[in-house]
Amino acid sequence: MERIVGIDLGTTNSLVAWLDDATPRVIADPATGRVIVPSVVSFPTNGCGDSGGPIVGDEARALAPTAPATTIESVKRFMGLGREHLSAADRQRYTFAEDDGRVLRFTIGERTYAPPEISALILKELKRRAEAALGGEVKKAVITVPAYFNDTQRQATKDAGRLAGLEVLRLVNEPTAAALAYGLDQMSAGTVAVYDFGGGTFDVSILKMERGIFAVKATGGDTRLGGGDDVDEAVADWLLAGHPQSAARDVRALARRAAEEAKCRLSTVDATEVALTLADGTRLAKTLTRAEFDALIAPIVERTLGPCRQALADAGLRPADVDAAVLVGGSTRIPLVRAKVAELFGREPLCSLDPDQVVALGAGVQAGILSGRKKDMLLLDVVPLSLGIETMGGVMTRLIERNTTIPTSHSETFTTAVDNQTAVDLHVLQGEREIAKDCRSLARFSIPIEPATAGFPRVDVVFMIDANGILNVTARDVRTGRERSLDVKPSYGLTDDEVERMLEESIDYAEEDVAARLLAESRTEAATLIRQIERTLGESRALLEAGEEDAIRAAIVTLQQAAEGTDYNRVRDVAQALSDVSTPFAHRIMEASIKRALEHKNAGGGSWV
Amino acid sequence: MTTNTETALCLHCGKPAAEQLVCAGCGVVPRGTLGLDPRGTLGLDSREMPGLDPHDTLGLDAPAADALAPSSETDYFAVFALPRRPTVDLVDLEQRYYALSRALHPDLFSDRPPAAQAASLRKTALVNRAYKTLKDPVARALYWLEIHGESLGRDNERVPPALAARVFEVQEQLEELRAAKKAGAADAATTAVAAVRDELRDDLDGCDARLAKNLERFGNGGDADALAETKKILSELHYVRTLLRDVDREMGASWSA
Repeated sequence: MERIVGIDLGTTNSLVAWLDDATPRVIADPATGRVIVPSVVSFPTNGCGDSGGPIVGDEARALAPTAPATTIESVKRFMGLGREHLSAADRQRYTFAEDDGRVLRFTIGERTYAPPEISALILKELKRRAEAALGGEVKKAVITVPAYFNDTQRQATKDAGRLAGLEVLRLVNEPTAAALAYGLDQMSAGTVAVYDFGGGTFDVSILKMERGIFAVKATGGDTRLGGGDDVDEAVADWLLAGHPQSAARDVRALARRAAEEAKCRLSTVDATEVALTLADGTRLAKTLTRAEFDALIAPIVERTLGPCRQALADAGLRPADVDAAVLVGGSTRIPLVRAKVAELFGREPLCSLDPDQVVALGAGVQAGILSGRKKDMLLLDVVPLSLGIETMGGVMTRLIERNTTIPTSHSETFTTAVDNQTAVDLHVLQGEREIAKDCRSLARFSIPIEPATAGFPRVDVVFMIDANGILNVTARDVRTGRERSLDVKPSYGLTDDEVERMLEESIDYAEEDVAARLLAESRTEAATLIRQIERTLGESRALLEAGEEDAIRAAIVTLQQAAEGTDYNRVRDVAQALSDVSTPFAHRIMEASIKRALEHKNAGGGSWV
Repeated sequence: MTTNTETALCLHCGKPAAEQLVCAGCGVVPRGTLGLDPRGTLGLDSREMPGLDPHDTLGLDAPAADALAPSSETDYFAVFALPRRPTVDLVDLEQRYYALSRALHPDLFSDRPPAAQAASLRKTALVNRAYKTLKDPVARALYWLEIHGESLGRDNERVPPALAARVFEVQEQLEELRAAKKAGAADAATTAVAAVRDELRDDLDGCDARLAKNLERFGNGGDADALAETKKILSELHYVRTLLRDVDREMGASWSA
């Protein structure tokens, strides 16, 4: 059976898990026994300004205070951003390439790195671990993302997977993954609020669980709010208040580390000393009490409660309607956070699963579902942010509202505002604001139309969101039938060419012959397709029409012959032909399963407790 | 077209027109901004074009939707093998929805041929859309009007008389809250807006109940009165929901401030 792993690619820490029989397990490094890979990448310098090979994880984390300029922490905060999204604190902390490229890049020594490239290094380390522990190649993964990640950030995460040599089968929202892990563990039915406060992001999701169905009702959050970044920074500010070097990069790096350690201690003690020794030997020490710490972070914790109330309102629920509140993410170890969550939902929150591991465990469960090993659970997730297009007057017109269950599609007909337009520009937007410029720009494209008086042309715009929450937009001039369709390539994302180039540049592939690799890939794809179709033929023979099986079998033979040759383009073309010839059959299977589902609707599914 | 001259509010969302010329929901092209860009951005619908009813373009029967799913499938009741009735047993509907999801969801097709994966995606998208429409009484009622060749038409472009006072009250309270926030003392104003929100929720419950009753009348044969009344309630519901959303948004901002 094909191995699919589940990965929690966190701001502070990353983990990999898989479904072992019916139980999800996190995978430890066989050498050290540790399960957590700190999401830190360091590029050691050789003294000439050149970077050496990257170091990932614990070792890199140890280097952060002494080599802050060449060590990237919290890269997740930068995924899918453009330069204009950077804060002063970001620029103080890292050096960014100031070229004219669209994509944000870190400058390290002589080289620059896009955030997905850094994330890919972390993913490669997790892949290496999983392969060592499971004994065999791992090529496919489910990766979790904050529920509130927008389309651009999701695409960037998929790019990182591709750069790491992983096919990302699914992006799962982190709180949803956590709910899967808890659902498997102890819950049967009811409404659950998942409060996920991690190192750099905050998410909240409201889910309804019933007999193996996990239906997300609403989600909300803040992708730039976290315990690692905001809480540690607040304590570091307090520690360095009045210090002459408080803005120096190396001083701040040391202070952040001291702050983080003090934060962890304050989860169990009422007061602690926060101390650091600077490079010049000066020592700085202050005592921080729990009460002072609570006062420092109260505004940060308060910022998490607005999205919780909004998610409840979106789900049409009051706090009392929630049967359980679940805590996820390392920052939920902070006593003030627990107290505030308990206060909001009027009940003690659940935290029986390790808050650092629960997301990875849930990703492992979803990996099991996608590999066909877990058939009694199903996730019905939602799109976190509304999607639409810019219309006349710079207005955001929503086609798909936030919290709509995915996959989904919606179409709307538009017309022109000016006589004799030869084309219309589509500006695809994401966000909740009314004015286009306040929303995130996802993509722009234009479709040619037949010129006519304003108001006469009709352009149908269809938004289709797949199960990963990724958008495809189709626009069609009704009169001419001319159509343009695109998978939205985000404005701040990498283009296919850029990803290809990065792949070529990365050491792993440099020695490989690209053509040989493409041929091997096309052969694997052909073999997979043949296996899938043969299985379907075996299971649903009754639905075949006369002569259909012969046609499909002939196409299989053609593909097998092509795969023995060396022309990967031919293998792909013939594979497409096989896929096409089996399409009507696939549709009939689908109709039959719809019929069955409605006939047995009350029988339920699976052995859900 | 975009402003009601008597009240100077956006027709669609009730906000003062000075702040916002058009709103996202109605998206009517304001006359003053026509022709700014020779290639032009899009104007939504052609509400003022003779012979073109904007509400036939809601997207349900649009040709592009047909391209995604054969037209026989776009009857949302048929998707769930339910009779066409304006009232729906929500518990039963949910069970049907879950059953279809268990049979069709793309997660269950990841090891299937591409054609099956694509079909699963399309069908699930349709099921999700149909469920979203039928489970919500307002969306269902609008759909019901639509499949019977009716639409809210211009009814939806005026502030319903019954709500005019409420619209003003809400806008005023929100203004005060914004001003108080700027001054850094939002407590009293927040409490006042919270009270308005509770009133709006009561309004919403009231409208929902009236709508449910009217849909029953429809289901039992219906008449012209039931139709007119349903349109009136839908129009009110639409406004109350928009107001409530604005209030929730402002409250959310004040909570996190």
